[in-house]
Formats: sequence, C-alpha cells, structure tokens
Amino acid sequence: MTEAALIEVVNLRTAFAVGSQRVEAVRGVSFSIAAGEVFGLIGESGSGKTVTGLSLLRLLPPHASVAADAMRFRGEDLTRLSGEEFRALRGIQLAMIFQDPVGSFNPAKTVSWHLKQAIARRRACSGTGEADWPEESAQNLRDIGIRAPERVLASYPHQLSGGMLQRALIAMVIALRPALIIADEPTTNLDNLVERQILDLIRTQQRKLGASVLYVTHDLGVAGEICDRIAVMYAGEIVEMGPARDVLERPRHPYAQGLLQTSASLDRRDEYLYELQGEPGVRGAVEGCGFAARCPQAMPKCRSTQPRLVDVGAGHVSRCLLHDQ
Amino acid sequence: MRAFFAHKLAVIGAAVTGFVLLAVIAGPWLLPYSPTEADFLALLASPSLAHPFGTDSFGRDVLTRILYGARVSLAVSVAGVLSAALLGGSAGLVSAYVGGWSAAVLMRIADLLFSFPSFVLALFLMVVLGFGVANIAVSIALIYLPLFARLARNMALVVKEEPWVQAAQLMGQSTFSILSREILPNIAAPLFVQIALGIAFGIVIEAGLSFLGLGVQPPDPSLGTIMADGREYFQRAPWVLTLSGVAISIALLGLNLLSDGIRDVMDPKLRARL
Amino acid sequence: MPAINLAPASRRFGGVVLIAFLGAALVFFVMRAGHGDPALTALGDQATPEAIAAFHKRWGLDAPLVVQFWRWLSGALAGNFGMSMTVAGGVPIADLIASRLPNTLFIGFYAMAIAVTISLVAGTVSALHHGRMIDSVATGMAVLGISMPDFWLSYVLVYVLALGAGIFPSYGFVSPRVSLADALYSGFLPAFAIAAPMAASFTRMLRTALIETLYRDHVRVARSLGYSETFIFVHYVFRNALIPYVTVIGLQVRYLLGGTVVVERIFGIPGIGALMVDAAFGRDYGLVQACALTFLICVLIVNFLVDSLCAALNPRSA
Repeated sequence: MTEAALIEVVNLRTAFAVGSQRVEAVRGVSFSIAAGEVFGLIGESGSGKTVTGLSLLRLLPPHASVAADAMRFRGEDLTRLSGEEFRALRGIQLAMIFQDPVGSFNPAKTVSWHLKQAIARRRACSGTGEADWPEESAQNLRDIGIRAPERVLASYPHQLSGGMLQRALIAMVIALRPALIIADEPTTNLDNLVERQILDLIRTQQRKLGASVLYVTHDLGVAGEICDRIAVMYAGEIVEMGPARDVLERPRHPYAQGLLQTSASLDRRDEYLYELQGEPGVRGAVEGCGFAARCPQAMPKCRSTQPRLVDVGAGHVSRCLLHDQ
Repeated sequence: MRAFFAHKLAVIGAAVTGFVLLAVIAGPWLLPYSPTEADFLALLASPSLAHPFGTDSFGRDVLTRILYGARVSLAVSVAGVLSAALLGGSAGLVSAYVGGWSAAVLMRIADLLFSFPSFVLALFLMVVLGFGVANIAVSIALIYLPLFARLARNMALVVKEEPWVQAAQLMGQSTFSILSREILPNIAAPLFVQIALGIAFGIVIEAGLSFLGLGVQPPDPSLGTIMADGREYFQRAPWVLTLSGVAISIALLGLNLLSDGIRDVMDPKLRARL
Repeated sequence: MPAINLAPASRRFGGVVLIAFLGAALVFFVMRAGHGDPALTALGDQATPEAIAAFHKRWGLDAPLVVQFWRWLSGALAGNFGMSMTVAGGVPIADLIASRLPNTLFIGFYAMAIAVTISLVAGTVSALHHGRMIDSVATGMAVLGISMPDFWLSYVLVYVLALGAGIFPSYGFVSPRVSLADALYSGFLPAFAIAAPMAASFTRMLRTALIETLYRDHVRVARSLGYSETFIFVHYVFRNALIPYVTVIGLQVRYLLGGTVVVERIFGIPGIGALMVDAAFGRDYGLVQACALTFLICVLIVNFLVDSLCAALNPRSA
C-alpha cells in the first residue's frame, strides 16, 4: 500500500455472539484509503458494510468481537490503543455520519446545544477558537447552506425535518474537522430532492476540509457520483475493489456484474427487471465461494475452493476463480 | 406459551402462586385443627412438630388460622378485582368503541375515583357501607374499577384502528361480536397482568383493613386479624406476627413474579400498547 | 430547561379544581347516603322525633340536600369544617386537621426522599451492570420490596432495629415543629416502611428506562463524537430516562399517602391517617369526610406538581 494512505485495514474480522451461535458479519476485509480520497463500500443489506464502519470506530455492542491483523491510522496501530486513548481520536480524527438523522439527536436538547458540544470538544482538543460559540454555530449552519440558522438552532429535534436534521448532523461532524468521515448511508431515509442536496453538501465539505470519506451505500448511482475508489462487499467479504469508474463500467466479479445489470435494468425501465437469483444466507462457516450458490457463472470447483483477491489490472482486484487461472 | 416457560422468574411466580392456591384450598382439610376453637392447654406455644407455626393467645394453631385466613383474603381480593375487571373493563371497552360524551363522563368519574389514595378510599367506603368482609370486596372493586376502565379503554382505542377491526365493521359484524371476538383477545394479556397485581394489592388492602379492625371481625381469621393479634404479644411470641406476614409476602411474591412473567413474555406488544 | 408554558399549566390547574370540587361532592353525598341522618348519630337511636326535628332545625338539616352541600362547601373553603362529634368532642375539625397535617406531610416527604434516593442509586448501578450479579441482587431485592406489606415491614423493622438493636425508637414521634433532628430520628422507621415498596418499583422503572436508553441511536452518535462516558450518561442516558421515572413517581403518590394510614397507627404518629381511623371507629362522620377530602387535595396538588415537572422535562409537550 502507498505511504500516503490515511487509514489501512488488514484482515478485519467481526463476529456476533447470538444465543449460542456465532454469526460472522465481516470475514477478512482489507482496504486502505488515502488522504482526501472518497472510498465507497457497496453492498446489499446484510453484506457487512455497516458493521465494517462501526468496527473501525469501536461502536459495536458488547456481544460483538472485533479482530484485525492491523488497523493503521496515520501509521499508528489503532488496535493497540486503550479505550480512553481511542476515545480521544473519535470525533476529532475519525467521525461518523449515521443513517437515521432523526434518531441521532438527543430528544431533550436543542440543536444549539448539540453544536455547542461539538465545538467545545474541538476547542478542548486543539485549544483554538475564542470566538463566541453561538456565532460559530450559526456560521457552521450557514456554511452548510441553512439560511436562517437561528431558528434551527433554537429548535428541538422533533420540530425539524429529516433533511434539515441530516444537515445539522453534518454541520456537527464538520465542526470537529475530522480527517476521516465514515458516512453510513446518509441519504437512505431522505427523499430524492433532499438526497441530491445532501450529496452535494458532503462532496463540497469533503473537498473543503481535505478529509477522506468512507462512503457506505447500496446505491450504485450515488457511489458512482462521488467515490474515487469502490469496494463491493458480499457476505462479509470484499469481492471486487478498484477505481470507481473501472468497477462500475467494467465489473469483473459476477456479483458486481449482477448488481450493475439490475441497476441498469431499473434505469432502462425494462419490462422484466433483471434479478439476481436467490438470497444471501445466514452466515456460518462457508465452504468455497460464498456467492457460488447464486452465481450464473459458477464452476464445480467454486463450491470447494475459497477464491482469493486477484489483480485484474490497474489497481483493480476481484475475488473470483474465473480470474485465478 | 413456550416463551413463558423459558422465563425463569415467571415459572417461579406461577409455581409459588400455584402452591399458595393449593395450600389454601387443600390445606385446611389436611390439618386437624379448627381455626376458631380455643385450646387453653397450649397457649402461645412456640413452633413445634405438632404446631408448625406455633399457637396464639387462645391456643389456636397458627398455621391453620393462616390458611383459613388466606382463603378469606384471597376470596375477597379475587372477588373484588374480578368484578372490577369485568365491570370496569366492559365500561372501558364500550366507551372506547362508542365514544361520545358518555365516554367523557365515564372517564371523569374514573379520574375522580383514581385521585383518592386507595387505602383512604377503602377506609371511607368501609365507614359508609359498614364494617365487614363483604364490604371489603366492594371497596376493592370500587378502587380498581377506574383502573380497569381506563386500561381497557386506552388499549381498545389503539386496537380499534387496526385493519382487521375495520374489516369486521365493514362486513357488518355486530358491535358485541366485534368487541368480544376482535378486540378483547388482543387486550387480554395486559388485563391479566393488572388482575394479578390487583389481587396482590387487594390482599394488602384487606389485611390492612382487618388489621385495623374494620374488616373481618374476630374470632374469624383473616391474615390481617392474625397480624393484629400477633402484635399484641409481639415480644413474647413474635412468630405469630412474623409468620402471618411471611404468608402474605409469599402470596404477593408469587403474584408479582407471575405478572412480571406475563408482562415480559408479551413485552414488545405490551410496551406499544401501554 | 425551557420555560414552563403557562397555558397548558393553567388548564391542568383548572382540571385539578374541578376534580377537587367533584371529590368534595362525592364525599359529601356518599356519606349522607350511607349514614343519612346525622341527628340519629348524634342523639342515638332512641331519640324522639321532636329531638330529631329540633336537631335538624338547629343544624340546618331541614334544608334541601344540595343547599346543605353548598353550605358545607362554602364553609369548608373558608376553613370551617364543622366540629368533631366524638373523636375530640366540640373541637373544630379544621383545627384538628391543621394540627395533624404537618406530621403526615413530613412522613410522606421523608418516605419519598428515602425512596427516591435508594432508587437513584440502585437503579443506576443495576442498569450499568445489567446482566451481572449485582444487578440480579438489586432486582431480587426490589421484587421482595414490592411483596412486603408496609405494615408488616414496620414490625419487622421495629423488631430488628428498634427492640432488637435499639438503634431507632419504636414509638413516640416527635413533631418536626418541635425538633427537626428528633423528627428525622423518630420518623425514620415509619418513613422507611412506607418507602420500601416505592423504592422497589422506582428502582425497577429507572433500571428499565436507563437500559432502554443506553442502546438508543443518539447515544451511539454521541459516542462516535468522542464524548466521555460520564457526559453521555448524564446528558443522553439519564436525562432521557428521567421522564418515565418521574411519571412512575407521580403514580405512586396515591399509594404513599394511603400507606401513612396504617403506619401512623402502628407507630403512634399523630397524623391525618390515624385521625381518620379514629374517626371511623368513633363514627365521627364529619371528620371522616374532612379527612378524605384532605387526602384528595394533597394527592391532587402533588400530582399537579409532578405533571408540571414532567411537562417541563419533555420538550415534546410544548
């Protein structure tokens, strides 16, 4: 991996203890993100993409176990940090924008209070900014494109729309000026018009801050728009990864190809929509390729041999035996 | 059902309650003593094989008296709470369904009754109606009436909006049929929880009133009168008071755990409805 | 905290006044229905018709019932409840109640303070360590606490702490107006007896509310921003669990005041509860009425305050 990598994840494995069983949500995921890069993580629900993001920030509930060979942020190995040391990084270096803006706010406090806390945290860490925090909060909201920040600041979360809240949430995260922002499907719960605006917002702010973004989504179109590089996940593994253009225009893995065809079919408004057969199953131990059961190009050896990531040219990798001849 | 048995505490609660019921119903037949006949040869005897709970100041076997007394307490409490559940529940159901100003009036009355401390209301009613066991049941019923009315009404209001109820209405089902077949089964669980809790507290009210002397009159046993007796000679023979209290506590414990169990099993639905 | 919105508060207060009025009516008419003629009570069953008529005339009992109610009510509002017949013959009821009410209120507040303190500690500890040993212990004690009738618990406490260990007195309450320290000391056992079941249910509610809030999304967001666990607990978890907790406290006030009746009797505390029991035995109906009404008004006032607190805590009620 290049020296310019902001964050490097090697062999991340996350599992949940459910009753007496162990469900593996993430099975050996490795990737790296450079400074200022927007990296997309794409997959259906249940593919493990959200859990990957949460694992990076240690935000999973107690019954989850996270392990990795290495998780290097700016060269420092995160896995070696204690709870308190890691907490110092949260928000300031690594931050997250969540999927549901409405539930993300403390219902008992105003938006102004939320922004104040974020600003105070940044100031405590960097020791800068003597400006009045109400003025700074208002300015943050104006930068986001909210024209009448005073009204929004004085409101309680239940008084604002989902789109407005998502904007306020982004303002909070931006106020902290993190180096890496994990955005977990931030526009899924919003309607199309607002989705547009939020996407633009994220892109603008990301460029302004020079921050890196790990953008988690199931929407290929969105990924195509703002991501520089993309990884496609299936059943807890990365099955294809490379420059966004490459992966989206010339996918090599059968699953990615299927996804693209479905999306294209929707766009073309075909009479019979292209469909991927079958469903992802419950994740226990899997023999051979996890996608073999649904793969239209499956070969007999796919069910017994685990495919590994193979270079298919120009920084583009695919996890399929088709390329591993 | 299976979920119920998986929940340890609920099973313990059911077991304890079952044991109490069994003891109360069958016990008196098995024991040779009479609850009211005095035996002057064995006054204030401490617990022994012959008298597992000892005897009181009249030589009466305490265990026998407790079991008979428990019968009375339970009977009174159950009668009171069940009547309240039936009357109050029906009133609440009907008011939710029919609506209108009669419903509003009903709710105001319920609010009013509900604003009196339970024990005070019970005391007041005993004064008005006269002392005695039957009136305790009436008092308990009146205390719980508003609770069940309000509970039934609130839940029925929610269930009323469900699609299957509206479908039944469209199909021309009679009001009574809708109430009993569509709405009632869906609100049964929380009602049972409250019934169990109500019986538990009803026992406390009965015991309290009898303890003060306003309920069951001596020499008839009631958990409360036994405690009142026991208090007189507390220092010489503490077992009377202590053990009768333990008896009440066991019954209450069983009922509380049981109602907890029902509540936990019905959990997600319950939380939404209440 | 946001400013308290006055309009809904005054509407609630109006409701309180209405219920107080209806309560007074209920108490009055039901008592009359049960024991129709005060003349018979005062003069006895053997009274002659002339004596009864004279009694009626003297006390205005020949007027229509509604008028009598009005007279009683307006008298009550002016502080005149009539006189006690048997419990303290000739003494104005208002005086009796005024002298006893502070004691009952003191025990009531004391009990509530004990219950809240215990539940804050126990509820928080068991929520933060839920699933572990200490949680099971606390929950077990809570279930036990609910299952013990307060009058029995009183005796257990007396036996163990007063007669046994001699730490607290078993009788002889000292009014707080005489000495606060002595009142706190002599009032501890009765207050605790009433507090125990309340502490149990408050603890359970706080524990449940805290645990539920611990897993909410906004707590996770706060954590992702790097706020300290203490900060998150205070502002995100505890603050949001307060609403159901305070609601449960409000619901228990009825029990609290009812519990004083028996406990006062046991510990010999001169309060309204004991007064009402005495009045019941003495068939002093006017006094019973007045006591019932006093209790009602206390409950209404406390509920009003608790409701207002809940509304202030909950931004959604604006």
